[in-house]
Amino acid sequence: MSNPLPTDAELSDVAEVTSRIREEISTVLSGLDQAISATLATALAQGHLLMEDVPGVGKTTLARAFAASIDCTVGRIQFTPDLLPSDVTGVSIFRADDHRFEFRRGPIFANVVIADEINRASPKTQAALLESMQERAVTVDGETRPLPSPFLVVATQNPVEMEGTYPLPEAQRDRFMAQVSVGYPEARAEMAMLDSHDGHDPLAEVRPVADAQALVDAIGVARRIYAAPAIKQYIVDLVSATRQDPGLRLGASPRASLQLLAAAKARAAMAARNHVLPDDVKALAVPVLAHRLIVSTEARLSGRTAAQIIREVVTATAVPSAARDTAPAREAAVVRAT
Amino acid sequence: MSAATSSRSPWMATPLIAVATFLGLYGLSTMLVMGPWMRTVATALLVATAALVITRLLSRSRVLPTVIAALATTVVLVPMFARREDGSVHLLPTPGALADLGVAIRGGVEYAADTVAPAPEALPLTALITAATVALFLVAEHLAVSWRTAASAGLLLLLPWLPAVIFQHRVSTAALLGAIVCWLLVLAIARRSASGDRRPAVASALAATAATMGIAVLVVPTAMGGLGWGMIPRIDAPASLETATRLNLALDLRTSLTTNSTTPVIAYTTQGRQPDAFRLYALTDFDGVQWSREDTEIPGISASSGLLWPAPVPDWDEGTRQRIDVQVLGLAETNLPLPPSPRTLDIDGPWFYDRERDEVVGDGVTARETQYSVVTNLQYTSARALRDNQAAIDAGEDPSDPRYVDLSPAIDEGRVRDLTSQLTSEAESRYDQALAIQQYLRDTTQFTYDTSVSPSGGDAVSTFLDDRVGYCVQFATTMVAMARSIDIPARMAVGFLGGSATAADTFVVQGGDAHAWPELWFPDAGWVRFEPTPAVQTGAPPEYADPGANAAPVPEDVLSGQNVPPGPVPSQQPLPVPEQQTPTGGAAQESPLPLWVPISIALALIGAGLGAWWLLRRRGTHRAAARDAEQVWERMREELPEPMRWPAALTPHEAAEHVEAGMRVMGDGLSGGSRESLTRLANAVADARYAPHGSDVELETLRTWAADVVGEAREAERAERASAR
Repeated sequence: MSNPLPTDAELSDVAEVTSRIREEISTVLSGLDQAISATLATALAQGHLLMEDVPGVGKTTLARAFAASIDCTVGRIQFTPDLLPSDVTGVSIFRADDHRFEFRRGPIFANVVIADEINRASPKTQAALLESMQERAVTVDGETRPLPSPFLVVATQNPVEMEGTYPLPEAQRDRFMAQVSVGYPEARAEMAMLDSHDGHDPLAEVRPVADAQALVDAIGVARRIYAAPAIKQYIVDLVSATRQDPGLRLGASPRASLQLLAAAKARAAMAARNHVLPDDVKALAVPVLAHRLIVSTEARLSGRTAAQIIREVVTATAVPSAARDTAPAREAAVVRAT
Repeated sequence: MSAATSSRSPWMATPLIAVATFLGLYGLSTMLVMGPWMRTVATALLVATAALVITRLLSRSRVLPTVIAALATTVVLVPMFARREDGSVHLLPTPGALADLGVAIRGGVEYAADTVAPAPEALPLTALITAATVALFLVAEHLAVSWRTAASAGLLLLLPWLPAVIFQHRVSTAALLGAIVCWLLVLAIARRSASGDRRPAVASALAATAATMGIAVLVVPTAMGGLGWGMIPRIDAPASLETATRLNLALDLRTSLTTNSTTPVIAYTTQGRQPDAFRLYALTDFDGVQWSREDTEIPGISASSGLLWPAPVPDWDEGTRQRIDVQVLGLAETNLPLPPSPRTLDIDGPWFYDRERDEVVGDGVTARETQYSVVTNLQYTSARALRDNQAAIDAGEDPSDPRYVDLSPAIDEGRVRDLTSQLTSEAESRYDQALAIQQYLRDTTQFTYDTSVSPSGGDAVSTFLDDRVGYCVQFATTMVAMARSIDIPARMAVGFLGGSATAADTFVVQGGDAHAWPELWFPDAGWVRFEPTPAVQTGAPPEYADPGANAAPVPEDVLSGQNVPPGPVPSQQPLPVPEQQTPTGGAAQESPLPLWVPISIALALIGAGLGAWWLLRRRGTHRAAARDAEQVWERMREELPEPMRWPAALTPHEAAEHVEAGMRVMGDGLSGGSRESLTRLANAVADARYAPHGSDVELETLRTWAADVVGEAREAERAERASAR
């Protein structure tokens, strides 16, 4: 096997790092365990995260808390309609004294980039960000400059119905590994929030609990998590079910299958498990798949959302037991023994 | 979990399907004469089975075993059937050899199309059957083993039995039961192994039961002799029969013949010439439309006591005698079929001779397997001898019974007498008169042979003379009436024509050969058969009554247009004598079956059902001794009370939560120990399924955990039921 399974020590390191980050974020935002888990899994799977929700529920706070809990460079871009691509990637300026151009790096050159209200920028600027996200590099004036590692974009956006937005096209949304909705906090959590914000900014108290290298190591471990053929079969079953669901105009792409597997591996690593369980896949199915789907008009009119349809698909899809691919070899062995 | 279970299928299901396919050949006994060709088919099936089993052991492919088996069988079939044009055998499956194999199989198709069932053995036919049987087997096996749809395969295996069902033919009970048992076993061991599509044993049992019922409902009535199975259209069996044939003695001239049965009635062998007819009954009374027959007592003369003939036979020892060995196949009559010439009879049992009617009568019916031998002189009567009878006729040696010359008042006697007188105006003797009448009726320009007649009034003879359309009954009756109108003693004989040859000296008489003809009295010769029915049905008339052989003074105007084809029409195809059937011993037309047959079928079906149930049970308990975590898990799911059985979409950990929730609904929830067992078991199952190195928990431990959970769940269920009461 080219990728040896992660050792127990490596796995416990990952679990420890991620749980520290989780705890640190929880000091700022309470009651968001699922969103935080999805955020961490996306980070470990080298994906990018989209947060979509109404204003004021803590999207940016979560992104900033996550950035602050890691000792790494953080870039923040507030997207506005007049933002230019060079404002994201950087620009070459002419130094008269040296008679040469010098590249001024844009805010995207950071380990964690918070792209606030991404759907308020013009499509041209959105495209510049999304290309960099995909390629993990910036090309300006014919020169390609790699972005640092780890590299995580956390983009927030308001629901597309809000005024003054340029909704992300499906192809662009597909580039985000997961989308999490923060949602309104529960009453108790909101009370706790009022208390914690009383008189000071809790974000300012967030301390880095892990460094960039720890995150890079964790990403390496997550990649080596074992996924049984049954798990891959399960993912394929789920994804192809979305393509056949009459409630969906557009099903999930093959990229969705890849990213769901990667995210599931990351979630397994966070639990210090060296193999993926269907539970991982189930937990991440909605965050990873829902934002890529287009709900048919009929389904939308009857009040079904993409997340609901995903949950229905998950409920209806059998969890593979014996791995179908490996079964033949085992059966053949039994036969010869008889 | 079903890895081991399903892996047994190639070992067991494939040979079972081969056996079931082979037994299906017995369902074709309607169509084919069973014989050595079955060994050839068995060999081909054996090769196919071996190829399938071996390939299935070496490969998990679904298609490959079938392809390999088809190729292997083809290789074996080539030397068996592929012949070059010069008749030499191909040894290797070269393209030419395959082409010649195709030619052989096509030859079988042509042979089958041209041959009357049951077809005797022939190389092309064997090639066709072998190829078709192997193909059926391969498809059925492919369905049952590769795709685990044993029920569909069973439908295919039912195909060979269809002819028996359609023709209401009796099939070999043992073969039928064997095939049923094989299929049930296939159903019992076949199991869907695809993940998430596991059928519990109950479903398999239901499928097996449904299959059994299907077979029982469809085929068993057939095996039991087609007792009143009205839903299936009844077609006369082309070969041996379910019902014995009876002659309708109430010959009614107003009714059409609707059936032309090919049911074999008797088979006989003889070295000499073929008898024209076999006679059973004589009828005397005719009321204008219908013949009738009064009951008589059984005569006292033993049929084996000597020469049987109504008149003296002075030169019996000098004549050309021949022996005819008769076997009754399907005839339910009180009288024996005998050639209409002087004969001695050798038969076991109480049979008696009625000299007046020239009938041999028994006290029961002619049962199947009744065999008897007749020694007779078919050339006893000659044209010259019959002409020479005139002196005795003139001397008034006719029978004293007036009924032989009596014409019913319903018949227009004047018309008949005028016509007859005109026809016989130039005849010098009774023989020539008879010949003239016969020739008149046989004239195809005057009369048409047709089995459908229009109903008439009270004088069917006049109707026939007007319409000039009829079949043997009309022709024979009219000849009797015409003979009687000129005072020739005449009566009606009922029996069968001589049938058709199946071999050089073997003949079969079928139901469609049933016939009626007139007998005219000649004092020295006895009752002499004439044949007024046209040649299209009866062939040439008896030699002594054939004007082609005996020039007779018959008016030219009457004989104009005579058109008699020479000789009896031989059957185009040889018809083999069917194999002996089990004796029916029945007296009715529908021969009832001995009671033991349905009883034994029922017992065997019950036995097969119990066997299948036992197998399922055994497999069920076998699975209880599960061999890995997956089996323990699945077994636990099946043993849990219904509300706790989790759906397939739940992961092991979710399933554990499902069980806990079910327990909480039912009562207090799982105790601490059981909950821990459940969690550990779920972990072990998840490890076994998804972890790189599986689960390392001991099997015994897994079983203990599962038993903890199941025991507590069942206890809770019992408690809940008790409280509900």
